[in-house]
Amino acid sequence: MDKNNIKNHLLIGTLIVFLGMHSSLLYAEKRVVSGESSAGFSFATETATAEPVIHYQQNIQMLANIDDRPSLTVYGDGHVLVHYPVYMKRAGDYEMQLDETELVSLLQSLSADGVIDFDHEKVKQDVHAYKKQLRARGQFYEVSDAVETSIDIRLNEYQKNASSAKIKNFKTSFKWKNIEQDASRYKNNPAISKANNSVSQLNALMKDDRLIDRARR
Amino acid sequence: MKSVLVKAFILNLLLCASDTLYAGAYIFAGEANGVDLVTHPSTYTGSEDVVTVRVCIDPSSPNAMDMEYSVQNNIDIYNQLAPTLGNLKSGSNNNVPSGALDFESVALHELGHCLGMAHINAASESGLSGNNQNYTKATDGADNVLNVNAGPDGIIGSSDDVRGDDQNLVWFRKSNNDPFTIDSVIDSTTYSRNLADLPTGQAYAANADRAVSTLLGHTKTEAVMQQGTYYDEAQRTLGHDDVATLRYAASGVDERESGGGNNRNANDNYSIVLEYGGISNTNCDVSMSLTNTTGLAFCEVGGALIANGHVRITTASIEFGQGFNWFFNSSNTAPVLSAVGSQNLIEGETLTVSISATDVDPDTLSFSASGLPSFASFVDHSDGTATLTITPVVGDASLRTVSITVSDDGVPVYTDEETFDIDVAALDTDSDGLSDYEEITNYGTLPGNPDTDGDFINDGDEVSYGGDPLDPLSWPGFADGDIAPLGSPDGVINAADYLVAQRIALGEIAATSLELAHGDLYPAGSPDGVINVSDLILLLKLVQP
Repeated sequence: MDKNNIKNHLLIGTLIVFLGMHSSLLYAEKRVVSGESSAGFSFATETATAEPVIHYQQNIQMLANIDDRPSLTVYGDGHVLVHYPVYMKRAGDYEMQLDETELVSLLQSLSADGVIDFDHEKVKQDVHAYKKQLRARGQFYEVSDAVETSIDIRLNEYQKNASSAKIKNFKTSFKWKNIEQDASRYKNNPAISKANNSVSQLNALMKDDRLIDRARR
Repeated sequence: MKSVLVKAFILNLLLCASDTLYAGAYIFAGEANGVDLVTHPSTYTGSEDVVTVRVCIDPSSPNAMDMEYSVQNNIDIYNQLAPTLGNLKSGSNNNVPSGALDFESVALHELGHCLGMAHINAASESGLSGNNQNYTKATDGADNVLNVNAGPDGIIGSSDDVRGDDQNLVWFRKSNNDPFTIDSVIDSTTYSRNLADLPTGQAYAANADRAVSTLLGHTKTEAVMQQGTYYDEAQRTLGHDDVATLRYAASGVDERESGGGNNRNANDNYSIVLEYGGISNTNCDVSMSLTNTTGLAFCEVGGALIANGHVRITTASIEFGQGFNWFFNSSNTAPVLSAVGSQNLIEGETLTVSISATDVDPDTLSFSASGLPSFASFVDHSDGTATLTITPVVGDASLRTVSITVSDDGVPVYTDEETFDIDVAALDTDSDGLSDYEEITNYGTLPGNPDTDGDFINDGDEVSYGGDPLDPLSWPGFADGDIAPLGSPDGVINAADYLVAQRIALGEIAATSLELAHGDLYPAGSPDGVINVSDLILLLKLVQP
C-alpha cells in the first residue's frame, strides 16, 4: 500500500466517523435549543418517508365501529393534512403548508401547555379527588358519550428545559376524554386547562383558511 | 366543622349501605359512586306523583328552528313510554340522507342520559375498544380488569357471557333475562341487578344490543341507551329496556310499584312527563344546543343524593357538535301499504295473508282492519307487518268487503288504506251441485254422497229438476231420451239410447229412476212412469234427425 492509498483510506475513514457523529447532516433537521423555561427539540424536515411530527385525532365514541375519525397530521417539513370523515360537514381531505416558524411555535406551545409532558396519572388522581369531594357532599357529575382527544408527537430529540435530560427518538401520546368539558369543569386544574389550550390550537389549525381541498386540486 | 364531618359521614353511609337495592344502568352508578345508585329525573325529590321535565332549545344555538320538530318528537316518544321492536331503520327504510347523522335519534339518546339513564353496554367509558364495547355494562371487579368472553354463543352482550368478577350494572328481567321483553310490573320484584336472580343456567345480564336481539329471535332492535350510532341510521323509538329503566326509577325510592312494608309506601311512585319549553332559556330542566364542541353529542349532568341509593338530576344540558352533518327531520310522510288484492277461497280452507307496509320515516306503524267477517282474524305484529287469517267453515260462503289501514305515529299521523274482497265459495264435497251447507241445512242430503237416495240421479239434479233427492221413487222429468250407456248417460241422443229403451220395453232389463227420468217421454209433459212402446215411438223421433 503506497502513501497515497493510505492517505485516501484515512480520509474516507475520517469522513465516515464525522458523518456518524453528525448524522443530522445526512438529512435536513430543525434544531431548537432549550432555554431555562422553554423546550428544546429537533425534528427531521425532509419527511417524505418519515413519521409525522404531530398526529391529532378526535375519537368520537358515540359512533359505533367507525374507524374514520377527524384528524390532523403535521410533518416535519410543515406539510399539514386534515381529514374530515364522511359524516362531517367538511367531509374530505385538505392540506396546507406551515412555515418552519409556525411549526416550531406549535411544538413549543404543545410543550409549554404541558401536552408533551402530560402526567396522565397525576391529573386523573386530581379529577378523582375532586369527584370524591363532590360525592362527599352528595353531589355527582358526569358527561355522557366522550370524545377522546389523542395527540401523538414524535421528535428526534426533546428536552423539556435546559435543566432536563435530553431524550433521543422521543415519542409521546396525550390521550384525554372530554378535555373541553373537563377544562370548563376543573378550572382550577392548570394541567387540564393548558392542555385544552393546545387542543383548541390544533382545532383551529383544522379550520385554517389556508387549507385546500385535495379533491379540487 | 363538626357538622360538616357528620354530614359527610351520613352521606357516605347512604352511598354505601345500599347493598340490598337493585338498580340498573343509571348514569351515576359505578365503582366510585356505588353500583346501586338509581337516578331520577330532575324535580323528583321522593314524593311527587308527576315529575315534569321541561326541555328547551337554547336560543343562541344554530339550527334552533331546525331542531324543533325532532325535539318535540323526542318528547312525545318519552311521554308515550311505549316499548318497540324493530326500532333500527337504515338505508331506504329511513329518510336520513347518505352520510348524515340523524339528529332526532342522537337527541333521543342524549335526552335519555339527561333523564338519568346510562349506557347499557360497556361503551367508551369502559376503555374497551371495538365490538368489546358491546359487553354488558359492568365494573371491573376486584381484579381491576374487565373480563370479556362472549361465551359459547359467541355473541357479545348475551346471557352466556363469561365475565369473571365484573360486577353487573344492568338490571334484567328476572323471569327471562330478555331485554326485548318487559314485565307489566317493573320494580325490584321483577327486575334485578343481582346475577343470582338470573334464570337457571344463565351466566350474565344480557343487554339490548342489536346482535343480541337477533340471537333472541327478535326483529333487529336496540335499546336507545346502547352507545353506538351509525350514520344513515335512524332510531327514533324506545326499546323495552329503555322503558323498563325509566319505569324502574319511577317505582320510587322504595323500588316498589305497589308500596310495601318497612315504612315504604306507594306515594313515592311517579310518572314522567316531558314538556316542550320552546326555543327558550327560561325554566328549562334540559337545554339543547348546537355548539362548536368537537364531540358528536353529549349530555352533561349534575346530580344530588335524595335517599339511600337514589340520586336525582340537578342540572342537564345537551350539546351537539355543529361540525357534523346533521339531518334534521322536518316533516312526516305517509306509510305505504303493500298491495293485498282480492282473496278467494272455499269453505273449510284456511288462507293466511301477509300484510306489510313501509315508511320512509322511521315511524312505528300500526294496522287496523274493518269489515272483517267472524271467520277472519287480524294480528298486528308491531313491526310493520300484520297477518290476516281467513278460516271459513261450512255455511260461511259469502262475498265480504274488507278494509285494512296502516297508520304511522308521526306528526301529523298519516295513513294508507286498501279495500278488497274476501270471496268464500261454497264447499261441495261430493260435487253434486249442492253445497255441503245446503245439503245439511236445506235438503237433509248427504254432503259426501252425490246420490243420497241411491236412484242414480245426483242430488243437485233432483233438486234442480223437481225430484226428491231423498226418495228413490221420485225423479225429475228430464224426458230427453238420454239413457245410454246404461247407468251413465252420455248427453247424446242416438241409436244406443233407442236400443236400451227397447230392451226396457221388452222387459229384458228393469228401468231405474235414472232411465225413467230420461226415457219416460210419454205422455209428453206428464210422463206415466213406465217406458213402453209409446216412449219408443217418441224416442225414435228424437234419434232420427
